[in-house]
Formats: sequence, structure tokens, C-alpha cells
Amino acid sequence: MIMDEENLNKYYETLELKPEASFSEIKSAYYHLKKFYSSQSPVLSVMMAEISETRSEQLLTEIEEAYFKLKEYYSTKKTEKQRVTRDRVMKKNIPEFEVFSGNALKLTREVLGVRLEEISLATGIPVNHLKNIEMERFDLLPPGGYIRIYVTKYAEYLSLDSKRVTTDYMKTVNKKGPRHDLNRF
Amino acid sequence: MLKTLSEAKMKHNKRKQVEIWAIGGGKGGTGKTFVLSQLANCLASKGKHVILVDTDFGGANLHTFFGIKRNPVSIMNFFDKKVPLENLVLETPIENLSIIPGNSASVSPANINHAQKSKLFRHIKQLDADYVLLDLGGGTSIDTIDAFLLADRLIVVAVPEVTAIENLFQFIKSVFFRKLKQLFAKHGLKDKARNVWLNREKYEINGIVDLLDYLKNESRDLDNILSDKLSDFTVYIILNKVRNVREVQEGFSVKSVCIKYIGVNARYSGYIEYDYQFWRHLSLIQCSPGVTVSYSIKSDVMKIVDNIISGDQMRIDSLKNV
Repeated sequence: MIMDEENLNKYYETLELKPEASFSEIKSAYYHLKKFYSSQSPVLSVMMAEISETRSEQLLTEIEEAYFKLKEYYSTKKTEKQRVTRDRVMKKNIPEFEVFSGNALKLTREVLGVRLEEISLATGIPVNHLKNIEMERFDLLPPGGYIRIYVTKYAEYLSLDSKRVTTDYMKTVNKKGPRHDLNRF
Repeated sequence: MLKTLSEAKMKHNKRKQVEIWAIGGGKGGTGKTFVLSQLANCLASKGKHVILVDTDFGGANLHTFFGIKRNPVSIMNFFDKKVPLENLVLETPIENLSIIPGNSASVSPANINHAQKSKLFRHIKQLDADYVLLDLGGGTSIDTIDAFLLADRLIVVAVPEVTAIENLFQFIKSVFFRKLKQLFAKHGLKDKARNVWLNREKYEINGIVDLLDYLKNESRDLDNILSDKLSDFTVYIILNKVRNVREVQEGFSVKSVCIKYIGVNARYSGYIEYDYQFWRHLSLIQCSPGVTVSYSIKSDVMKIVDNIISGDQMRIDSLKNV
């Protein structure tokens, strides 16, 4: 769904934000305004006489509406962005690999022109973990289960076959990685 | 020859386009003069030439912040001795910073008529500086409001207390209503806003937001005037003596009420922390101007100045983890 600009600006205005606002700002503004206007704050009570009761109720509905519309808008924008990345992937010639090692992941990423920071932002995995995955420094990484999740997310972001990549990668981890021997206790 | 001279003068005027900041806020004791002196300090340290004008005609005390004990001159000389305003500018020990002190020796409150006032405002605009900062008194007298509206940047200071915030709203309302009246007078609709306001029960108008809505709906011309001229009417809010994060957040609430209940553009420019040590030593600092008051206050003030100049404001998600 494409929202027309005028409505969008109105929503930003209701939440008292600029159109450049990030989603975290939108969220904070919404929670703050909602809490404030439904409370009996003294700051509000001194202005009670200024506007009618219906208007103050309407304010709350407007805030609610603005937030949910903007939330929707941001999520469509996000999927749009993901689609663009996927298109970018389709157009490039990705080298074929027999086995997906850390180095293979790195090469694919570089061919696609994707930066580590970008992946980190989208997946929430710290950049140093991503770096360590590429360099196969397993001793610096958390235990295997975590690595599996990280690699899956990494591969999904690059639109690779995540199942295959993960199986390949976990084989190397099991071979080379440190043993987390649970029997030693 | 004459032409080139006037041309040169015009160029000179253009180069020194002075920006006027006014600091008001309704309630007394919120630290208006202190905030003003700090903002001025900050601007002066950036190499801007700053002149402070004490327009608190009834209770001048700006000179005390700069260690001036007996004013050799005062703004009253402009009125009763017709001294040009440039000659009343006093240098302070701080580089780039000078002040025009107010009257502290008078035994009766000053009575200035409208013509004198507008003459003063005209001369203030022609002062040779980068920034002119006006210090206003408390209350919502017409002198205060007119001086406030003179400025390019309207800055209000409040402390996070209900009484101060209530007075702040009253102040902003009065300023905004005065602005509306001036605006309508310019367009030949002198008593429009007043008349509608006096008959407000008939039109079911509760407050100033309803009044604006009513006027906008009444005719297209009014709508155009209002949306055109009021779009750059912005109030910059500073909270002073803030003790905890809840009080920092109060600034967002105050801003929101200004926007939604009064109908003015408002920006929350920042806050200044309450510094226990500082208030104990206030008298000492006043005698030694230019002393770095406290590093936390200094950094707060620097943020505020940057926000006012750039038009940014506090980010609401910066307080998320509290």
C-alpha cells in the first residue's frame, strides 16, 4: 500500500516529529504522548479549560491512528528495501562454491557489494561476530548453536540457500571449532 | 560620491545582519537571566560578537551577572537623556561580549510610552553585533510581550514545576494572541481576533486552538494569512534546574501541550541540570564573570545553543533506557 504524502506528513505532525524520524523515535514519541494524554498529569490539568473534552479524546485517537499508520508504512518500506537487495543479488554473477566456508561467504558478500555494517543493522548481529564468522575464528565466537543462527541470518540476507550454507558451515565448525565438552563436569 | 557612501553603508548593514534572541517565560525565578548569560557566554566563545540588553525595565539585574556593581550608564539614559544606544554599550571582561545594563538605581518603576518603546526596538535592531540577546522580566505585561515579539528567536525558560509551567503557558498564550492581533492589524482586520474572542461562547470556542480553527474556516484569506505567517513562529523551550530524567521528559510534554493546546510551533531545545554546588556558589560566580560555572552546565548550554541555531531539538528516544 502506498500512502499519499499529505497523510503521511499529518501523521508525523501528530507525533510532533520530522519526516526524517527513525522508527525508534516514532515509537518513543507514541508511547510518551499516549501516556501523557491519558494521564492526570499536572502539566495537562492546568490547560484543561483550553480545549473541549471531545477534542482531547479525539487527540488520543489521532495519536493512535498516526502511530499505527506509520508503523505500517515503515514495515512496507522495510520489505521494499529487502526486495531491492534481492534484485541486486539476482543481477550479479555470484561465483559458485562447492562448500560454503567463511571465505566463500566473504567473497559472495564482496561481489554483491554489501557491507558488514549493513548486515549487522538488518540482522542485529554485531559486526565483530560477522567478521569472525568470515575468518572462521571459532574460538572468539559463541557456541555452535549461536553460530548456526548467525550464519542462517547472514545467508538469508545475501539471498543464498541458507539451509545449504548452514549445513556446510557447521561441518567446518564441528571439525575445527573448540570442543564444548559437557562431560568434563 | 554620496551614492557610493550610501551604497557602502547598505553593504555594511547587510553584512551585519543582527539576530535577536529574547528570553522570557512568565514566572520569575526560573533562571531566565542566568540562562541568558550562559547562552551569551557560549556564543561569545564561538567568536560571535554578542550584545546583551536588559529590557527588564522594572527589575533589572543582568549587570550583576557580569560583576558590574554601579552602572555608569543604563538603558534609561536612552529615554530621558536621548543618548544613542551605541554609547550605552558596556564592555565586559569576557571577549566579544558587551551589555547594555538596565536601571537599578531608580526609585519608581519605569514608565515608557509606546513611541519610546518602538524607538528603542528600532535602535536595538540596528546595533552592530552578530547576536543581540534580550533579557525580559517575569509576568505578561505588554512591554514584556512586545519586546519578546521583537526577536527572531523566541526562547522561553521554565523549571519543571507546575506553577512555572502554568505561567509559561499563560505567557506563550499571551504572546501568541498578541502576535495574532498584530498580524490581523497588518491586513486591515484589526479587531477581528478580539471580537471573535469576546464572543467566544457563541462560537463554542474554548481556547486559542479553537479560535485558530474558527478563523481558518471562516475565510480563505484568513487561512492563507495564518498558515503563511505563523509557520515561522516558533517557541524554543529550555528547562532549567532539571534534577532527574522524569523532569527531562516533562519538556516533551510541555512542547506537546504548546503544539496541541495552544497551536504554536514549539521545539524542546534542551535542559540544564540542577547543580547543587553551583547554586551554593552563585554569588561568587556573579562577582567573577567568565568563570566556567560547571562542566555539566557548560555542556548542556552548548547543546542548547547548537539546537537553537540549527533548529534541531531533543530526540525523544534518547531517554529510552530509563
